[in-house]
Amino acid sequence: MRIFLIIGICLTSVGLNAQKLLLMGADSSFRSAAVMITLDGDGEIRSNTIQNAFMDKLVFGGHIDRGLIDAQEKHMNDVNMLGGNFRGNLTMRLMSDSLFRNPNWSWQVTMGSRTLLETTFSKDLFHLAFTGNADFLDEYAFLSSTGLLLTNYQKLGAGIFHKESLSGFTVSVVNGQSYDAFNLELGKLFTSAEGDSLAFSYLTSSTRSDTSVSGLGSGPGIGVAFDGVLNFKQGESGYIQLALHDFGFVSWNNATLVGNNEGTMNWTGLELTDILNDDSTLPSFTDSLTINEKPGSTKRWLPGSFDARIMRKIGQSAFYEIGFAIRPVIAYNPMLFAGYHHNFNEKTLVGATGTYGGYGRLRFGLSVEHLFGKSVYLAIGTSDVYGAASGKGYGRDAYLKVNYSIFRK
Amino acid sequence: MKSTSTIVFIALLLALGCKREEPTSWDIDARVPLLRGSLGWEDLITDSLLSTDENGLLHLQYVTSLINLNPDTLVALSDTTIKRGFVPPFSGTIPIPPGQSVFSQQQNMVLGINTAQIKELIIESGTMQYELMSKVNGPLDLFYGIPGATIGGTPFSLSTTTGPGTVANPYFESGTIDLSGYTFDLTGTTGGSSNRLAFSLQADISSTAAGNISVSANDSLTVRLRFTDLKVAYARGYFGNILSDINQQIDIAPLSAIAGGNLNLQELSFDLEIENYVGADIQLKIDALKGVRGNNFVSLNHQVIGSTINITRAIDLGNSIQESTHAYQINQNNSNVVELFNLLPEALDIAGSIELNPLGDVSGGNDFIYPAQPIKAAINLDIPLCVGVNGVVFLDTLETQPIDIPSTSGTLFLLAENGFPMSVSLSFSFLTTNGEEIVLASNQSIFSAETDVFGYSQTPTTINLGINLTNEQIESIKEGGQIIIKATANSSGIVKFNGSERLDIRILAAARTEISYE
Repeated sequence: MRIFLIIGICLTSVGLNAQKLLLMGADSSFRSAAVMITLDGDGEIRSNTIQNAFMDKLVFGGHIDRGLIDAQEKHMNDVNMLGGNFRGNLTMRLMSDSLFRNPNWSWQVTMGSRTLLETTFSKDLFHLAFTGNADFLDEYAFLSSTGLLLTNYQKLGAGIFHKESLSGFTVSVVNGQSYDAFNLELGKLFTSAEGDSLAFSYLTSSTRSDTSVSGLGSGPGIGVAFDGVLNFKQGESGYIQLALHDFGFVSWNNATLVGNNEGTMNWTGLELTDILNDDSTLPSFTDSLTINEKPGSTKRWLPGSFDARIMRKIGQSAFYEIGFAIRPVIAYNPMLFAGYHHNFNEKTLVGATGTYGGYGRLRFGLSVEHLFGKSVYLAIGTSDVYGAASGKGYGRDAYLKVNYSIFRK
Repeated sequence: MKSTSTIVFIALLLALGCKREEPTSWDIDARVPLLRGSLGWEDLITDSLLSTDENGLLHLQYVTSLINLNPDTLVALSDTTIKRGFVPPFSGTIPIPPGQSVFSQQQNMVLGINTAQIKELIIESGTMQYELMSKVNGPLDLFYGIPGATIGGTPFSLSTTTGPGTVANPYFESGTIDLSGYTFDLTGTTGGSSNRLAFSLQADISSTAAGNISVSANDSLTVRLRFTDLKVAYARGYFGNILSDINQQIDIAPLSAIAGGNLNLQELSFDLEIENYVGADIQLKIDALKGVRGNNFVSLNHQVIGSTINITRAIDLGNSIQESTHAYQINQNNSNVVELFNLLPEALDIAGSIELNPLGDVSGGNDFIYPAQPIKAAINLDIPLCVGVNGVVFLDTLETQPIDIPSTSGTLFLLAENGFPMSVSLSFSFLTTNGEEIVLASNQSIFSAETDVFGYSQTPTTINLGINLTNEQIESIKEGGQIIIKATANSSGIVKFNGSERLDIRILAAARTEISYE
């Protein structure tokens, strides 16, 4: 069962890996289609320090033993990151239509959904969470720079595209389904030498969207987003591609809880005299860590991204690509990638890639794109072959893209 | 082609329908402070007065009422309703001109007083509700007076003019009078009775009537008075000869928290003080006084036991009362009171009798009482805490509710600093809701503080006890029940306390806990 879920998570098409065969291949018959329907999605879970074996147990269950925990900590930095990104889109391009009588341009409509999970955490926080505070006697556990972002939203948009280059853009209405963000900007926990007192200092900010109206397509936020791809043809040698995704914002309703808190919580145990004086009943523990949140409407940027790449032909049947991707979010380093792709024939493209950054470390991937007849295009691949197969990898991703072209008889 | 798409579609469906086959779990080693506190004498011995003498020795003092005599047993006023109907002193129907009398009466009403024969009362609080009902078919000028009920020297009176009434539809009027501060002369119309309040009624055809009013023999005037919630501030009269048995149990609150053991006291004083503020003679006899703990008791041997104590009446000086006082000092030299309190009695059982006015009405009906100052009989206990402590048990039971905590095992550490010159043996057990007792720790010793040459504590002892708790024990505790804490104290011979002794306690958990989620 687990393998199916892994496949499910990975069966998506990262925007970075889209349609190279269509752009760079010799078969351009798809351009004569009346309508091209594209189902694509991308999914990734990756960390720069957390291995797949650990993530598998967090997600799929199982006991996490101390050896596995030690293995994670062995390569940890002061601040570590983990991210998960799941996105699905359905796009319809009207290939035979024209845009204001310009036959080179036409209309496209798209709808999609995205879930993003990102977190940053210190090594001490990880150790505290998975081994307890026994190793911190008479020491501070430093917890600063801990962040968490979990958001879901859907888009429904329309736009135009260029038939030859597949450049285009869409403007979408965004339904904000949920938004949870928490930042422990400053935090440390002190455990006394005997373990008889705890002191937690904190400076936090948080945003929680209204959960009473959360739901797919009927969320507590509404916004707008812009998506665009520009494919600049460089003669016969290749393309330069620039892509901007999810540039926009969501306005969350006035039941959104926004909080900023600062303080120190000290805990030395229940007071004995309170117990003795409380009618022989143990008093209930009252948490002195108070989170003050105020309801109110707020706007938040969408977790957008900008990608750029150059694709250049090498001879008649191969090309290389290099590029980068940036996302101005809490747990994503600028990502660099490069790849070599070979056309085995007009309908089959096989590629090998190397990627560094993003949520994770250096990894190597494979991709395959194939045209079945002239109607169906399929692309599948991953940027991390080792991660897909090994528990010692630091993440998994894969993509799937299906184009179905409808031709007039 | 179709088969490829179908495979991908099925894979996606399976992925979305996937469920976790087992929970995610891991173990953490936590150090968590659970409890802290500092216990002194004020926490161990409640409801008592602690003081030190000139030598720095701590004394436990306790004062409580020994015999509770309710003033209401002497003078009590019950709610009383008095109804008087007045009819014309003639037969047939007679026209009566305005200003001429129809009814004129002077009578006594008897108040609801117990066996006492009261001549004078001062009312602290209470009300009198009145109702007037006239069946005379014309207006009456009505005067109702209680000359024996005065306030500031002014008698109570009620003047009103009634409206016309009939037999079928009488005139009705009512009201409420606050009697606070009223003095009642209860000698009646003759001035020689008791418990009787004189009143007068005068009803004339109203001068405002337009002409003669026909009054028949069937016409009547009814007055109803209801005295409610009367409380007495002062009473004078003869309270009677009352003999009452005394059979009381008095809790010794400071010792009630102690569950067992005994002391080796060197000395103490146990004063019995009787103060009579009542203007009546009293004869008191205490047949037995026992200190009781469970099924064990010690009877006091002292000359006061079995003796008749004659307590003469108090004297009313007008602005104050000169009370009659009897005091008995009971101590280790004239009784076995030390033996009695070595038992650590939870209560004192007292049996005897008390007689009021044993010689009858020797005051000529001038007994008096101010209920705010009744007969007081109290004990004043003073125990110097120069004492040997032999297995004195403090027992406390704490209710716990079911709690949801992860699977846990580990050690409870008890860190204590004992400043008392006695050792404490601690036992913890848990009583489940099924009645099963789980012993968590048995007889864990906290050693006595070191003492100086005088027997006072000098250097606290520090101890660190570990109590191992298994996962099974904690699983039982999670279900809720009772935590039973038993502390047994012992001293090495006679020790002295100066009141500054404290027991500082910290309890923390070193636990291995399984964190899990489904």
